[in-house]
Amino acid sequence: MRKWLKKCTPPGIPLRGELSFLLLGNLCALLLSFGFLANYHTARMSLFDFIGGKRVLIEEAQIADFTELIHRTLWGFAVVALAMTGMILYHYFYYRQGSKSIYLMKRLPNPWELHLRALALPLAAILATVLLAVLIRFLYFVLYLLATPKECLPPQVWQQLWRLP
Amino acid sequence: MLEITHLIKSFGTQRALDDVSLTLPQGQIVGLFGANGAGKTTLMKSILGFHPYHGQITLDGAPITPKNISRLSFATSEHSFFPNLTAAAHRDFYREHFPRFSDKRFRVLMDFFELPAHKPLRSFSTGQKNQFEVILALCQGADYILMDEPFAGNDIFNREDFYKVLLGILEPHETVLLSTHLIEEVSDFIGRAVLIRHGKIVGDVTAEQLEEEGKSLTAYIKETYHYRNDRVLRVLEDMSEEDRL
Repeated sequence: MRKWLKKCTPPGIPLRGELSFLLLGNLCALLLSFGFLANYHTARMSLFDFIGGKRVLIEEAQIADFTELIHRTLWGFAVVALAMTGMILYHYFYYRQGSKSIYLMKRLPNPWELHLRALALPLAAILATVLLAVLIRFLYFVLYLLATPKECLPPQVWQQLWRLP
Repeated sequence: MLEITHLIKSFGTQRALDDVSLTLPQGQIVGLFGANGAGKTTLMKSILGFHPYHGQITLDGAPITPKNISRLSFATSEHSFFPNLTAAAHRDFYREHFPRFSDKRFRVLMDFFELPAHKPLRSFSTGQKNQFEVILALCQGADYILMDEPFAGNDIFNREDFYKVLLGILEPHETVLLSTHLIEEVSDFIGRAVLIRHGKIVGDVTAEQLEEEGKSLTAYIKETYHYRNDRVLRVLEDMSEEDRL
């Protein structure tokens, strides 16, 4: 894996730093996504009344839409993906830092080597970030479906899985 | 044979190379001389395809493309290595990308210049960096080795060592195009001198021709450049006259 990563990044770039940045970014995005759990908890609690210390489901109560609850809580992943485009620029700029290794990269027999090494890691990171966001959205949706009393789910609830707010 | 025909390169309205035509057969050591801004670096960068240009540059009749680019190597005073990599890591990188990379030559030159193999290049002195830049260019396995001011920052002993090594290791098919200001130093080991001025080739002479004419390379360059020996004296006289007034 490390060998592959070294072949797909500019030679000599501090790889550990880039991977740490990527992991930290996604970790922050994940923490931010927990906002959904807070939103969901509040929405679920509003379905109930407390009568005599007992929790009673309000008649015809309906939980807020999934899209409404998840709104903005996955934006952290978008920010990470956007930061990866910055990493692409940094990779191209790297060949002009401290020397002009761009001259070597430009005269390699494989003309794609320069672009491969500049783009591969950030694009893979964008893909991984998007997949993580999709997976988390799906898991939250499953939670929304399973933890909400069936009678309180909005009609055509499955359509909300990928719908944007 | 590297053939440059009617090469024109402009930066905005400024013409850096003006109808340059030049032929470099294999097996020559060619000095490229000219004042700062004359077009030496632009010529080399155009050959390597770093700049778009008008005209034609061919290698044995074929345009220079990724297919034959490995037949050209380049050493520049700007340095084209990766500062964070070690010399050994550079060797591996070159091996991977240039199939004709010479391990043996690399080992010999590294030993000769006593360069550390496992230290990142950024920790090298300027002189060592220049040496390593040249080593890479010489070991790539190229037929045409372009060197742009490769010794800027090296001391005289270092440079002399290098000239000797260069003469000793070059194969008969290898051509060196060397751009430098150190005319006197290289005069003994180049076989041909090309002079460039304001983007035009203004002189092209072989060592034999100079020998026949009984001229030194410095004299030839000064003559071709219309260098006025009394220039400095005149300025000093003008200044002292102004002071008197």
